[in-house]
Amino acid sequence: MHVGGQEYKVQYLPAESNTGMFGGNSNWRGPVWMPVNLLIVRALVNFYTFFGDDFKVQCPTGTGPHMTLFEVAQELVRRLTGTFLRDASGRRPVYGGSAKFQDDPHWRDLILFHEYFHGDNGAGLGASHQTGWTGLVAPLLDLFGRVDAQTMLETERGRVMAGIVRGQVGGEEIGKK
Amino acid sequence: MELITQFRKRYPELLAHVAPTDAGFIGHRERRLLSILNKRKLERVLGYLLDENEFLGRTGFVRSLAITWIIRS
Repeated sequence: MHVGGQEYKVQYLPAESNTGMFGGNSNWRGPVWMPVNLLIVRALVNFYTFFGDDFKVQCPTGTGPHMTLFEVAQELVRRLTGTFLRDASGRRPVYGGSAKFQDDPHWRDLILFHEYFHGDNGAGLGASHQTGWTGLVAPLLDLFGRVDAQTMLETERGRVMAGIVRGQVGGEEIGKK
Repeated sequence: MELITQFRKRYPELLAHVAPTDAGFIGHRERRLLSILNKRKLERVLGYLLDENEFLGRTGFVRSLAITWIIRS
């Protein structure tokens, strides 16, 4: 947009903000934020329990296999958790270029829950102790570790949730007494 | 059901825009779903969302603004 000879634009920005006007250091125009992702995962699972196994979309678009919405949610969670896990080269994307956190044996397995993450490489940005929402990656692992697609599809929501709690407390597997 | 009834009373204008008898309104196990996206719109939204050149991050997540903004702007 051009106003008074000056150009104003909003563009993709993968890391910290390049202007102090919007949110200080952080920005919502490119980095990865856990709350948004959690809402998308939840919506995908909701839609899956309605549309079932017949509704499939290509993931990633243009190149990937056709997946049910449950499988798309799983793929998204795989990418989310991949931020914190060691990749093939032994590095955790969350720690980016920080040698101390990547390599030091006293620090390398201590995971921080950053405020948001670099949109291209997953490096942690902003506050490093934003545990409240970035910690949501843990219940995502827990949910998809305990509940398979079939259980999610065929079981009434309240019973799925109750089964998860029974599993967390008593170690019981969902659907097995 | 009670909440849905209350909601319908409060926002009668919404009824003009929802189609409860639309094809596909009844889902798996006779489930019902209130959503701003029907199947066709959901497919289109996911087409962009799951595109690695748009919102799906290679190393992780879905971004909050599409990467193609770099190219477009």
